[in-house]
Amino acid sequence: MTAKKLEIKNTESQGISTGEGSFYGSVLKFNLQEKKEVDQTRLPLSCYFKVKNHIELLSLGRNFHNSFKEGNRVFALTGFATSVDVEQTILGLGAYFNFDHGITCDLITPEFRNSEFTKLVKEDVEEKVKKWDNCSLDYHKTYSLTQYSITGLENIFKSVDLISFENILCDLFSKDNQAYFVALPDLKTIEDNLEFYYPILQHIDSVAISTELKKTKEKVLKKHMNYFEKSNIKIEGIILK
Amino acid sequence: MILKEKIERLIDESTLLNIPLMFKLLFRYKFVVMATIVFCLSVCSYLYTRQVEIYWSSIRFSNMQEKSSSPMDAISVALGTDAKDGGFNNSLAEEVRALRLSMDFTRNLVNKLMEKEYFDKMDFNPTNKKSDKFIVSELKNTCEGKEDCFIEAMVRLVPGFYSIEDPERTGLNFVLEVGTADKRTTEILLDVVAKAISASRLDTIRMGYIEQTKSAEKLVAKERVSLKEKNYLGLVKKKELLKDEVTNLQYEIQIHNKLLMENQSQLTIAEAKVQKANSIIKLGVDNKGLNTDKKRNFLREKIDNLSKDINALELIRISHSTREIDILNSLKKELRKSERKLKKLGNTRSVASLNEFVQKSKIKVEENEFNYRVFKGYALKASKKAVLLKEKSTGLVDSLLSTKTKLEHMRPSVNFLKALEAKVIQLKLLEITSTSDLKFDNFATFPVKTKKITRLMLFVYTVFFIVFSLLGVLCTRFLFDDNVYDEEDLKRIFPKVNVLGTAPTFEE
Repeated sequence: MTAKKLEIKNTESQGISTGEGSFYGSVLKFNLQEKKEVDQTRLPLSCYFKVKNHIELLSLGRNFHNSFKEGNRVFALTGFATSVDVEQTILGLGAYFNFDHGITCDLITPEFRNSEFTKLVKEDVEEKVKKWDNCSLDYHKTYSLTQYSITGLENIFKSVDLISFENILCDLFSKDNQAYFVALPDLKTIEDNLEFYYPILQHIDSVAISTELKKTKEKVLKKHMNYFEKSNIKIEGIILK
Repeated sequence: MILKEKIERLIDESTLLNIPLMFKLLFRYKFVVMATIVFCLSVCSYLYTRQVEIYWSSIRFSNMQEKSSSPMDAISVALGTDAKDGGFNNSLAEEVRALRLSMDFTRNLVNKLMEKEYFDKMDFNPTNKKSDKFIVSELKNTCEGKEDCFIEAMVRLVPGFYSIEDPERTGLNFVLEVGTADKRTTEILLDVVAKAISASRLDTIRMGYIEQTKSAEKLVAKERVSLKEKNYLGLVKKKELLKDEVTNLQYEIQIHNKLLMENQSQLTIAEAKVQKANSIIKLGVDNKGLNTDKKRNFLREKIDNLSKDINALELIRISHSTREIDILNSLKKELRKSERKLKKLGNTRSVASLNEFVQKSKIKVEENEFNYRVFKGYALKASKKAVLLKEKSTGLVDSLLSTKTKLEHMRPSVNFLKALEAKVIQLKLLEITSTSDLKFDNFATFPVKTKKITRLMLFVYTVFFIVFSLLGVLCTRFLFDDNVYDEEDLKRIFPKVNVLGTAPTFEE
């Protein structure tokens, strides 16, 4: 598989995310350890402080960060009822990674312009275009957070051949010192459009499945679990809604 | 597989059901629980309100033969110290209880009910539903006038409206309890059933006597056949005839003997007469004697006449004149003279009469001799007949004795037959005069209106209904509920998968 995910062996980048701790103390730690090695920008995004359940976000983020420390970089989230939910979760995790640990994050959301990213992030958001030979991808960037959209990737998939698409994906997921949060649609959409999603899945290190208590069916959860386990993707865990 | 796991979760080794899980489910499916409770309450309430209001009435009755009327016995029965186990006959209790199941009894009951004027208005609703109507007139309509169909329907219905509690349960007496949807129906049914029970008991008692009578009559017939084979009646008849014959013969012998005696006497008289007549005839009569006899008769007449004259004159002597006195004296004188002459002639039997007697004897001697011969001949015949009669009498007496002996041998059988016949009569008398041994109280309880399921019972039923319904609903809901409700569920379903946390939400 040409699009096999890249091995990340930069041991220095492992040291980047050692800075755990309280919200305020972590800022100093990153400043001392990481400023010379990585071009990371801590972003005290206002949206981060607008999270209602901050304690839960810290707990959730800590779990993901632990996984990140273990070498997983590309995290997929699936099973959410709406795109709003998954976008808010990704944004929250990105904000946590960036602000608490100074890790640059790429967020791949379902929507691009109408995404929660554009609605919630107010600070210096720039819309840029990343270009390859025959195609381009719009993205939003604010400090160390970058947002792409699945729809944008889908447009690329449609405009280029599969190898080129895989190369583009490799290019996108090539940064070894940053985290990626991919919002996957529901399993049926993935299966229906497997040619597009399969290359993306190849880059995913672990997947977290959303569960809405009292609404999510056990069968659906098991189906998700089985699917990703059989796809050789690590199950990161379950995110409660 | 999931279902199996869920069943395993529901079951607990010690408490059968997983109680903590049940409580958890109770709160998890609270709307279902509330709906179930409301439903159960509604159902129970509906069932309570749609019930028929039943009028209950009861009457006590007791067994007169077994039950002592003394208060001490009743107390001992109540305390359970009676050695006779309450003093009641179990077989009677069983018989009385069995009446309710007897088709004959029920048919009889229905027939008696049909005789009541109120019968068409009676309500025999067995369903405990107000809405269902079981008025007799409507039942008749459903059978379209077929009496057999109607009676069958009534026979099926009626036993359900009364019960007979035996003394073992009630303590002292039998209790007949009737409950129908109509007060008047209850009263009538109670009355009819009570009378029918009493009559049935009487029939049973009579049936016992009838059976005994039949048995005794069979024995009587058997004994009679046996005696008939031995010709008992013939022997009795023969005995009576022989008795009569012997009696008649005895009488005949007596008469014959009497006649013989009389004949003997007459024979003797005739013989004497003949001898006397012959001797007088031999003696004969002279003329002198005849003249003297004439003088004597003349003097007797003269004396008699003179005596009459003298007596007549003496009666009127006060007014007698001298002349009359002279006449009286001369008459007296003449009387004395005549008496002296008669005395001289001798006052003996009249020779004239003797002569006359002789003359007559001469005339009758032939007749007497004829009579004598006749009497003598009769005497000879009578003697012979007497011998014959004696012989005949001996034969009859022997025959009579033989017959009596035979009858004597039959006496035990005859006595047994007589005893049996007496027994039959006694049993028939008992059959006619027997009365029921069940004594019903004079007054039944006043009909009390209740529902079959009381409020307390309904409350208990409702509680059970709700509990079991909830268990059923919760278990079913749990078994077929595929949703994930909490972290515990997640950890149970996916033990190796971590729960990372809660998804963040942002303020707008």
